[in-house]
Amino acid sequence: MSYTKINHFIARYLAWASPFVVILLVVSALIMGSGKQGTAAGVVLDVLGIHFLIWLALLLYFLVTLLISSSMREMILTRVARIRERDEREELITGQATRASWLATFALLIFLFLVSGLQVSVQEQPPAEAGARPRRSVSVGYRFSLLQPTTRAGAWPPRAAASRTLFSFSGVALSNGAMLLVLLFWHVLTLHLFSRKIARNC
Amino acid sequence: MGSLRSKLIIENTIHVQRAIRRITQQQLADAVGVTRATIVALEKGNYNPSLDLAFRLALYFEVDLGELFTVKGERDELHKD
Repeated sequence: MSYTKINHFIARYLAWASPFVVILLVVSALIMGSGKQGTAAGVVLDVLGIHFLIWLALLLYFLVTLLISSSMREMILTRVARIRERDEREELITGQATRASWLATFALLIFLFLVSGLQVSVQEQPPAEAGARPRRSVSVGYRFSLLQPTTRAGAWPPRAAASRTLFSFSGVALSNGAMLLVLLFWHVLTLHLFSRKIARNC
Repeated sequence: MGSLRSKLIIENTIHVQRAIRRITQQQLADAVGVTRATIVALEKGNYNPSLDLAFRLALYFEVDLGELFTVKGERDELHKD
């Protein structure tokens, strides 16, 4: 079996086995802490856990190979983005779609970067005198740090005494993993959609 | 906004040459080493081939390049910058 065939086999295995990894993550979240370790469900979980380790190790190998092997990159482009480069027209479509997809991802990254640090709050302060209207104030800030803060420095929104927060926004609510997953899907989706759109007109 | 760039309107007689020789789009595609979709796009005028493909087509049909491809004019296209 050649090196390329082994890589293609691994890629296929990673794709087909990924539902089992998802099942493991869901099941383990349900079973953990429920005292089912040692039962049949626990044994299944152990087996899935071993499978997960193998899957993870192969995924790491696959990602490294993706950087080195051009045939692997070609295969991924064909399978994931449904793009084939069989002749000059398809190469042109791929090039234009990649450009459009890069720009779309770039725009999304800038948007997420801006939104992730943005802090907005609307507060209402009780009137100083009886009968007067309550005073509303809008606070807008931007927070950026190179490293993940261990403690939350400066709680948002900044609260004045006796004020009531009507609206508060502080960064994207998504976790780092979820954000990366969104970006991953966005990148693949835009490449796929742009290539289809360009191919229709070319 | 974008900028206006002129583009040549190139017409071709690929479908005529193909009809004369009674060959299918797939047969032509296989002969010149492209996909059938590319031959369809060429015949519709949606795609201008590279010089390499243009010569391969002319060589296959045994005609001059000028006989296969003719410039019919120029049009302005809005190009996104």
